[in-house]
Amino acid sequence: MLKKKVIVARKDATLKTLLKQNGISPLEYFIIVKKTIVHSLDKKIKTGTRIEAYPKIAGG
Amino acid sequence: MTERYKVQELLKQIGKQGQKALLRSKIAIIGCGGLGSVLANNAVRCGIGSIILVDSDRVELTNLHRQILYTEEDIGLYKALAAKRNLERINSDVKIDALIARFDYKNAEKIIKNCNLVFDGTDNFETRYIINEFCVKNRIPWVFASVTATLGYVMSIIPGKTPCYKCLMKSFPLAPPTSRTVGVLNAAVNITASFQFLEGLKILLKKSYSKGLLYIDAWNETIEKLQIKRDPNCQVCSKIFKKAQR
Repeated sequence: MLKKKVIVARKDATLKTLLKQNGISPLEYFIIVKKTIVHSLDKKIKTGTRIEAYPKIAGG
Repeated sequence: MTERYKVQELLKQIGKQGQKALLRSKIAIIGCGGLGSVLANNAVRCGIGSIILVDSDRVELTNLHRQILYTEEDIGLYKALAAKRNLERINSDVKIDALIARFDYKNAEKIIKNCNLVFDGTDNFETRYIINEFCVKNRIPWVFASVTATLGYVMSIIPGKTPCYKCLMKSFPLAPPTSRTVGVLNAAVNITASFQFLEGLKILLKKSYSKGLLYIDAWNETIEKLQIKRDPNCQVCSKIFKKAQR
């Protein structure tokens, strides 16, 4: 089922690392931190930060 | 002013002046599938003066559960032509041009030229990049939307004022989920397209439009607004912003 995914950082790490650990591809999902879309995967994320991943869809 | 729009004109957001503005407006709807059907239906009913419909596909039986412009009689017909015929039955005062074509680099400029607004009813990322490129270049506002399964997105793109589609969609999956692989809920299409149309209406009426990306989960009754930052190095829109700042 298509739906958004939510993860919470368990330790300080880059976004890239956290996404990889949770099997989320930024090609397939918009990555949202604090309600804002983030494109830079090198962004450092602090422990406890909520990361949301919204599926990219193309249909019309 | 015609009797037809009397009730719509009562809305303080529209009024007689707003109705006149709509009657003077020209829009293009790129893609006449699920989103395009709802967009065209609303556009014609509310009295937008001139509409260009662009689609190269024919109506199929599997379209009918969500593409509200078509009936069983239309199966096998070109969508653009069937849509034009059915829309003219709703409001014969609206000028409707139907173009049986894929929107591409060759015809983009000619189609959107002189339009006040472009609606995205396409079903792929690549065509949206083309819409974005030409709309930004020609400073024509457009409203992006996509819908699959029970989810939808809507975003108003105003060149020189908002981030563009390229700022939003820097990369995309080569094989995204589609209605053919995961299905699509007709109510999700209607809700998403209605929000998309509403955004376009606000832009045509020069009212405040939604900033950011609207995310709709129709099944779970959820609507969220996500913030998007403009990419200062965007290949498509950064030049427009630099000119605006001068």
